[in-house]
Amino acid sequence: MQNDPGTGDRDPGAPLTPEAFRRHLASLGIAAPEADLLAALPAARILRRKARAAGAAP
Amino acid sequence: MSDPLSFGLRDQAAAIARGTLSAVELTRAALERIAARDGAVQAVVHLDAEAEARALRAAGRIDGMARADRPPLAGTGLGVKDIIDVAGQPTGCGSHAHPGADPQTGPAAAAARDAASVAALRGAGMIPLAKLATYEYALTGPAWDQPDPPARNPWNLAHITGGSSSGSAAAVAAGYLRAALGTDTGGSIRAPAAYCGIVGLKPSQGAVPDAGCFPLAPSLDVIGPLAATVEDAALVMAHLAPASAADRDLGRGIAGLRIGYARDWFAHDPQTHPDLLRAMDDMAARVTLLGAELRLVALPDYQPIEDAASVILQAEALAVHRAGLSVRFGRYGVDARRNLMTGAVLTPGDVAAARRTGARFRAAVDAVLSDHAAILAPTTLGPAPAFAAFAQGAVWTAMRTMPFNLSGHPALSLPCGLTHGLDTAGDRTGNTARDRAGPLPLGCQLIGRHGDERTLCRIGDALERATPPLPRPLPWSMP
Repeated sequence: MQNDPGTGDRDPGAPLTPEAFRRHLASLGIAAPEADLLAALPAARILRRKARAAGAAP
Repeated sequence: MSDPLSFGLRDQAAAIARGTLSAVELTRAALERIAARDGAVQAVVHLDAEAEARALRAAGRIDGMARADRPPLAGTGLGVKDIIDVAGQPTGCGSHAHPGADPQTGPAAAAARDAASVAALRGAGMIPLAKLATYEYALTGPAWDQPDPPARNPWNLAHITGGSSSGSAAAVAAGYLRAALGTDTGGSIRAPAAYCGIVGLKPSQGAVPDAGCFPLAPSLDVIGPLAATVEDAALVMAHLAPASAADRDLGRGIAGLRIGYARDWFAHDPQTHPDLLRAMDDMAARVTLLGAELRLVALPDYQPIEDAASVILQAEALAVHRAGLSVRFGRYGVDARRNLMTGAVLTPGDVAAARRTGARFRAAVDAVLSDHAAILAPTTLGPAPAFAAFAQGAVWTAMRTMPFNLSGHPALSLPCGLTHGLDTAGDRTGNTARDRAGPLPLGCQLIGRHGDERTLCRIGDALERATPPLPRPLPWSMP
């Protein structure tokens, strides 16, 4: 898994915007059509919340 | 044998060894069963005339061997999930995106050699017959934009099988074969086994060689059997990983063992189907009736563990498919590519934190298992949802499987009962009033110590023998 912190949203508490999601994907060389991007956005937000919850687990 | 497919692997092989059944007869019976039923079940994605002829030739070679030379599972049939290579058959991974699988460029190329797991079972005398349906790249489903339609649940064709080893579960439940290979990254052996009323064994992480199997999330993936009975699963496991000796203690009973029951891990979850809770409590009662000691045990909160496993799965899956998505994005199915995309929001720090959570969970489970032979928990929290529910959007299928991919413990799913027709979970599972007319299977799982599939199968075998057998799962009109 690679991710370029320079292209994404740096504040993990900030809501994931379509633009930030697009930059995350572009940094991996993936050009997703708008419809796919918007459709996947809610699940991407949930996954980010899961990452925070998992990291905070006792 | 009137119906050789109804006998277990041990009895099939014994009959072939005695000469009362030939491997060719058994293979032909399986091929005829597939031809008769698979139009409805849709479990098989590859079985052409050449593959049939190859299987019959392999059976003929076994029949031609001196009886003393026949390997232990000689002549018994094997189904293989279509992300695992079988020499001479294509590996399509259930995706138009898989190299060579685009219909415009022809079918996927045939594999040059068997995957290590298939080779081990072929060496034990099993005959790979058919490649079986998988959710796209073992990721998500059911979906209707894959090369083949979704496999259907033999208990009720209007319901899903669960996945991703969808065809493996359906093929065993429909009586084509006693055993098939699947893979389990977050429950993909155990959940379809539970939904289809059969047995599924997720081996310990790393116990089964994975060469020749297309990965989903390599640190979580494991290959294992889906089978008609615990004995069948144990026999296959014993040949997949001989060190497991998984079949060594079958029939020994469980008197004197101590088994933990993780009741609080699911009983108060509103997603738990009431019939599942009853069936789990009945299974716990059987533990004591068989002379074992049952103790209620506490496991760490479920949700953060599942979240951690999801983070690792999505990160690793995207790493596997990153190059494919960059050049073949539109050839992936809609659900698969949108699922894979989500991993892009994860950072290496997220993944590291998830792995630390996994390590803590593993230690907590190890602590429970230090004075318990196994832990009893549900596999899924309800029966298989109806296909109709998926037409309206994503459906959440509540399970208790992913944490043990994260911890690496072996886990054995076996049937524990049936729903009783009309139920209060109808809306949650997407069942219509018509669908609710018939019962559906429910599954429990036993979680064991690392590398101790032997004890796990011993306990599962004893509980299976003490549990009323499920009726034949063919409520539809089929030969």
